[in-house]
Amino acid sequence: MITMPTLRTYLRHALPLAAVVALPLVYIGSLAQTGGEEPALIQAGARLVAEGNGNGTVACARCHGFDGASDGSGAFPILARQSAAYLNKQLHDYASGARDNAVMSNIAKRLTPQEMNAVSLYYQSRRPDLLLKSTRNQAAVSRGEELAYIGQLSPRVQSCVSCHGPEGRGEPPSVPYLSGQYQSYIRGQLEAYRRGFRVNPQMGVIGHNLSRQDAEAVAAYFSQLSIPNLTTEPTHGPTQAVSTARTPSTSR
Amino acid sequence: MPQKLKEVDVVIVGVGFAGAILGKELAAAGLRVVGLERGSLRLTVPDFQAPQIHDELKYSVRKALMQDVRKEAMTFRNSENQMALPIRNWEAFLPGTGLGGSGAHWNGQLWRYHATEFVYKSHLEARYGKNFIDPDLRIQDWGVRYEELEPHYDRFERLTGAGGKAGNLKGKIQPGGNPLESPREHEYPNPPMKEQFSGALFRKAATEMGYHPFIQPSANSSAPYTNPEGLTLNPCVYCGFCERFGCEQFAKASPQSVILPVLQKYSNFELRAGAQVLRVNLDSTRSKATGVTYMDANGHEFEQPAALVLVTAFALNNIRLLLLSGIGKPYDPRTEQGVVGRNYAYQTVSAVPLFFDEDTHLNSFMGAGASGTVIDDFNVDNFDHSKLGFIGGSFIVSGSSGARPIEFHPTPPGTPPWGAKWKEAVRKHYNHTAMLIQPATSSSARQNYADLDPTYRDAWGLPLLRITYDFTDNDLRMNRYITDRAAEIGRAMGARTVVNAPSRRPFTTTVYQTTHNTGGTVMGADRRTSVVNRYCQSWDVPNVFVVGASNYPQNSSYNPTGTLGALIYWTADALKKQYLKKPGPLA
Repeated sequence: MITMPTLRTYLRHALPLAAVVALPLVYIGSLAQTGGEEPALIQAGARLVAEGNGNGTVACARCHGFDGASDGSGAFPILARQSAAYLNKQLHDYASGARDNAVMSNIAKRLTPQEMNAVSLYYQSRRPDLLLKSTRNQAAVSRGEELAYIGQLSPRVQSCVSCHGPEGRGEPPSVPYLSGQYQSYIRGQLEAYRRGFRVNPQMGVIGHNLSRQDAEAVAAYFSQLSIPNLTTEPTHGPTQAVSTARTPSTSR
Repeated sequence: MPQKLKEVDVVIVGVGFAGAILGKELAAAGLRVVGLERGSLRLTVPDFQAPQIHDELKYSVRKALMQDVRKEAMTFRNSENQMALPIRNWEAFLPGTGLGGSGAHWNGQLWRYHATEFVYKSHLEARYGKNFIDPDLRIQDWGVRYEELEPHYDRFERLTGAGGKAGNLKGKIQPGGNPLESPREHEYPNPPMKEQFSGALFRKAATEMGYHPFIQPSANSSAPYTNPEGLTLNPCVYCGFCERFGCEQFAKASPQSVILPVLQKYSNFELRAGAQVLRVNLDSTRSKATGVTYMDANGHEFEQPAALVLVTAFALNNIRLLLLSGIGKPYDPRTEQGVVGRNYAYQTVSAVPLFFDEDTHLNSFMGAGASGTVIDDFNVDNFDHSKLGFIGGSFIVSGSSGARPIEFHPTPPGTPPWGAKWKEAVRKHYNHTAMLIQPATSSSARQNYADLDPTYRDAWGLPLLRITYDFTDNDLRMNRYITDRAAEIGRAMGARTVVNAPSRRPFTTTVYQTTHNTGGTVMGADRRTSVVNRYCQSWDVPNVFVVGASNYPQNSSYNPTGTLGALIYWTADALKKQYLKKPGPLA
């Protein structure tokens, strides 16, 4: 019974002067707190992406491109406009071994936390030119869309958009976007969750319950959308999720 | 003329937790079972999927998962000398309807009651003397002891994947749990939920004050889990849309997530949704039920004959169905004769809002139905009442089940109720306000009861249930004491403004407080003061069992569902091991 509506109604009851009228949730934090450092961090991130860090970390651009579009093979995800907080966490997980990937673990172990943050902010700020992807398997896309929006009852899979947002456009800072991501990358990650190479309490169960065919379908659906135009407000916390140097995007 | 259907072994009225679990147990025993659900059939996929399920206006403000007041409401008054009026909007409490019942929209706060609560009256009289209890109170023992229910609590906790930390394992106090709880045989199947920031502040302050904080037990699913029925629960994502909503994640334990898919596989079980049960039918002796009469969504009336009738609707609707069917004698508060409707109780809830400075970011929008930090030091009889002049108490909890945009905008006293100053205050306080909540006990009393309304009728032409209730003097004294203790903790947490506003009369149905309605079909060892015996079996009509919070003789501070779960399995055991072998009154 302990509910936040309790707060509303309780205040109404106990405090006649307390007002109870709807108001959209408004961001009220201080932009100035960390916003000033961001352009410098993004610059540092750009250098890392182009040159590596001289401590054994190779240039990120080799696989992910300067603009975060990666090489299109699907082995490497698109990083551009991905939530910096999410990217940052992945780097920490690679470094700790929580996310098991032979290539990325070695790279991440040689990055300082500051460098992880910088490169994450850099890629989040990129707006790559991506080729429009054609859809070869319309049946898979349709099935993928059904799973994305409705889920399935048995075996249990909740709708992807429950967490990843409408069209899989992400719920930053914590939940990554899927829309426009490479099909084979999404499929590969679902497989990694299924096999336990990538550990997440939610996605582990989903990876287990989705058939391989349905994983392919989900990947097909999301991959033929466009990557999102991140316009979320900054959030509090150690990882400042969004660049203050936002520019209008035409990526959708 | 109602169409008479083929007789079955068991008919179940209401398919929530009680109906679904009892249905499964009896179907597994080979009986032909029909489950009648007045509401619609609804399942996690597609009905509870986000983003639509996160529609605060539809589900929280307009109460889409609740009983349709246009068809079936209750009437309410504070005392016998008033005229009761129908409740037109659910505010004070929220009776669910539809498959899964209130088990679909609950918060997942999964408590066991304390051992002393089952022997409440005898315990208090032994400790404080016979004259200690206010003369208007009608508290009594349950007729069943905690030790008897313990394995059934355990079973329900395993079914629902309860997350928590034992504080008392077989009498040995465990660090991290609630040291004041009654002994458990087993640890919880899952770890406790994550602690919220406000809960951490509460923990620190409460510890420094010598109290014993712990994270409340939860059926929100703290980790991936497969229950003994073979159903897998996903972990909670702390989305902040729990109570009043269905869970899209297959996380919160609900009949949908923990039992119904198993039940529906039995070919000897049939679920009929949209079936409004009008009455339990009795034979000419009035001591044997012959089945039930219901109307389907098209307005066709059916008679479903059955050898055994299980009344497992929402607590208040259990009372009403017995009254409409003439099972048991209705309670009369003047003569104190009769039992059905007697000992209706509620809770005595108060909240203490804590307004922090703007550097304390609480992020309360990250909430789960049951992940609060709690102390139990002022609950039940965990503290000495002898000089306090009241019985009862409350747990005190700090934690958020979500800070949703339409309904959550706390402002401190003195803020104008609208305009620029109000908006400024909401912006300023949204992320910096915490709540301490005290869902205190409710003592049953002579003057608080439920009966059939003489004036108002439902869409089927039947009298509504009439509730007569107000807070008792004892409960207001108790609530004032508890709220003072909470305010002390709030100040120690560092809040800049602490609002101390205990409960006060009159109780109103226009302010949400708690959905924990209890009593009216009380269980007990003495048929002069109870409707059902210790096995939840009607004294008057032994082939009718009533299972719900309506069986509780008085109300606890703890949320009722854990104890309901224990009573469900306790009743299932009695049915399978005793009743089915030899139908008749159980001793």
